[in-house]
Amino acid sequence: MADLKRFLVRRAVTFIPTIIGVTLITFIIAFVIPANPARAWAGGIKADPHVVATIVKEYHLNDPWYVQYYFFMKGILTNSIVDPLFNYKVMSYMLARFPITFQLTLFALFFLIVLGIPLGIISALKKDTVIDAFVRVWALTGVSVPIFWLGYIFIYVFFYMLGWITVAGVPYPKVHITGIPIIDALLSGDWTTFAENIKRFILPGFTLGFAGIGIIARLVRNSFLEAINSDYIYFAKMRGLRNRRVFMHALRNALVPVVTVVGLQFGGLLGGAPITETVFGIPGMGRAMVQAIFNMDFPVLIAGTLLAALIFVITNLVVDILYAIIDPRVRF
Amino acid sequence: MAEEVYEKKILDRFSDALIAFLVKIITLFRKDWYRRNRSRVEEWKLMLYALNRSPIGIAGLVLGMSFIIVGIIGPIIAPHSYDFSFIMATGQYKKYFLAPPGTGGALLGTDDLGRDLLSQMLYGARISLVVTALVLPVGIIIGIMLGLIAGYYGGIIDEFIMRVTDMFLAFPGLILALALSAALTDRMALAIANNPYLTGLVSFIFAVKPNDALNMAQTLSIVVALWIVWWPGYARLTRGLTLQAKNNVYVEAARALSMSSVGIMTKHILPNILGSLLVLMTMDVGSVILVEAGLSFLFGAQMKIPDWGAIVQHGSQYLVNGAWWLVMIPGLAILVSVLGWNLFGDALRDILDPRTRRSIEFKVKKVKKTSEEAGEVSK
Repeated sequence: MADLKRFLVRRAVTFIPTIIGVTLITFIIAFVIPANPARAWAGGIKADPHVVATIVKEYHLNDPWYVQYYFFMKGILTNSIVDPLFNYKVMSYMLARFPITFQLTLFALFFLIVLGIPLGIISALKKDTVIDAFVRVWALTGVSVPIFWLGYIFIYVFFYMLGWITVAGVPYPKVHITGIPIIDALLSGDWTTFAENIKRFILPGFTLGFAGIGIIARLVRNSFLEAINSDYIYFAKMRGLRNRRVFMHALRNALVPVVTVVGLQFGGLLGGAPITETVFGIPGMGRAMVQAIFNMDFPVLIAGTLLAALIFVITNLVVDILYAIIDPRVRF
Repeated sequence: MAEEVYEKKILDRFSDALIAFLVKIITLFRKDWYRRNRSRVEEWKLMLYALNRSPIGIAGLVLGMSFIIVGIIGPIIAPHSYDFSFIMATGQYKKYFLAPPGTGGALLGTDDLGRDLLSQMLYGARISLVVTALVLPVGIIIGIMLGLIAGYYGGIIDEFIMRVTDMFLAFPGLILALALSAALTDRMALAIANNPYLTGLVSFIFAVKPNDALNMAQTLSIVVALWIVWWPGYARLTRGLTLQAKNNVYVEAARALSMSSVGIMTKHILPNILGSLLVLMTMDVGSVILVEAGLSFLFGAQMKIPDWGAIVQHGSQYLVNGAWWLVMIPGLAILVSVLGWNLFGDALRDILDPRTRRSIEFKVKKVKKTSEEAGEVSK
C-alpha cells in the first residue's frame, strides 16, 4: 500500500497542472480570440459606450491577461463572479445544473451495466451464434450512430406515435436532500415525481448509453473468453467444481477490465452530454455550456469546463485506485 | 514437385492486378525495388486475400468508398442546387411545404422552405468529405510526430508532451471544438473575404457558389477546431507503441551504426507501428464524419450552407408535424457512412494482426497448382 500512497501523491501533483492548463486553454479561447467581449455582452455593435466601459472595468478586461485569468479563476472558485448577461452567480448556476447531468449519467450507466454485461456474457457463452453476431453489430453500430438521430427516432416513435413518454423539463420533488431529483423523490417516497423522472430520463439515458452498451458487451465477451480459457479455470474444472462455481470464478476475473472502462465512461459522461441534452431538452451542464458558447457568455463556459475537467480527472484517479484494490496484481 | 497455391476467386485476381499495377508504378521510379521487396509484395497479396474473404471488410470498403464517391460527384449529379426551392420555382406553397418523399420532382421530399432534400444531401456529402479530408491528415501528422518524440526521447520531453496531451484529453472534446470554432468563425470569414484566391478555392472544394464562400467560414472553423481536438489521441497511442518498439534489437543496431534519431524514428520505428495506427486512422474517418455532424447539428441555423447535421437540426423542428424524412434520411446517411469505415477498420484489425491473420488465411482453400497457373504465380 505504500506504493499506492506514493502513486496518489504523484497523481495529485500532476493533476494540478492539468486543471490549470484546461482552464487556461478555455480562457485563451474565450478572451484572446474574439474581438471585443465587453461590447458583445453590452448588446453588440449598437452598445452604449458607458455600459461597455463599466463592463470593461468590472471584469478587468483592459488588464494584462494573467490578471484577467486570476480574476476569473478566483471569482469562479469563490463564487463571487456574476454572469454579465443573466446576472446570476456563475458557479452556483453550474453547480445547480450538475445534479441533472448526474441523473442522466446514472440512467446511462444503468443501461450500460444491466444490458452491457449480460449481453457480453451471453455472447461469450454462445460464441459464433446469432447472439454473438448481434452483439458485434451493436458494438459497431453503437459507435457509428449519430446520437441526435437516435434521440429523434425515439422521440418520434415513443412520444409522437405512441405517446408513452414525456420530453423536456425536470420535475423536482418538494424535499431537497441530495439535490438529485430522482434520488430525492425516492428518499422522500414521492412516487409520482419518481415516475415522472423515469418517464423523462429513460430514453435520454438509453440514447446516451447506446454506444457504451455495445462497447461494454464486446469487452465483457472478450475478457470472459480469455478468462474461461485460462489455466485456473481448467484447474477448477479438474478439481470437479460445479459449473456455477467455475462460472463465478471466471466472471470475477473477467470483470476487472470492465470496471476501468465503465469508470472512464462515467467520468466522460458526467462532464455533460451536449447533444443528448439538446435533443431531449434536458437542462444539464452540456446544454448550459453550448448556450454559453452561443451567447459568448464566457464565465459560464470557463466554470463549466473547469467542473468537467475536474470531474474527469477525479474519476480517472478513483478508477485507478479501484483497479488496484480489485486486482492485487497491479503495482504502481 | 507440385507446389501448393491459394485457390483464387474473382476478387483475388482483381486485387492481384491492383498490386501488380502498384508494383509497376513503383518500378518506374526505383528500378530495383521489386527484386528487393518481393516478400513484402507477397505479404500484401495475402492481406488482400484475407480482406477478400472477410464479408464485413468488403461491406465496409464498399460503403466507405461510396461515401467518397458520392462526396466527389454528389454536387455534380444533384438534380437541383442546394438553395433551389420548389416553392420559389413553382409557387405551389401547399404542395411543396414539407412535401413527403416522392412528391413531384422531389425524390426525398422537401423541407419547410420547399428545398429539395436529395440535392441538399448530395451537397452535404461534399462538405462532410472535405472536412474529413482536411481534418484527419493534419491531426494524424501532429499526433504521430509528438508521440514519436515523446516515446523515443523519454524523460522531461516525454513528461511535458504527455502532460499537454492529458490536458487536452481531460477537456470535454465536443465543447472544446464548439467553443473554438464559434470563436474562430468571424476571423475565418474575414480571411476568406479579404483573399480572392481563398474565396475561389473554398467555393471550388465545397462546390458552393462564390457568393456563398463566406458562409463556409463556420465549416472551416470546425476544421481548425478539430485539428486541435484530434491530435492527442494519436500522440498517446503513438507514444505507447514507440515505447514498445524502441526496445527492439533493430533499433539498437541502427543506433550502434550511428543512425540519426530522426532516421531511426522515421525509418525503423514508424513503419513497424504503422499497422496499429492504420486501424485507428480508418475508424477515425468515421469518427470525424460523426463529430462534424454533431457540431453542425449543435450550430444548427448558423450553418448557412446545410450539411447533414444541420439538415437534421433544421428538420427536427418539424418532427411533430410528422416530417420524419428531414431527420431520418440525413441521419441514415451519416450512420451508413460512419458504419462503413468502422466495419472496414474492424476487418482491418484482424487482417493486420499477424495472430488473427493466420486464422483467416487458413480458411483460404489450398489447391494443387495447375500448369496453366504456374506462369502467373512464379512471375
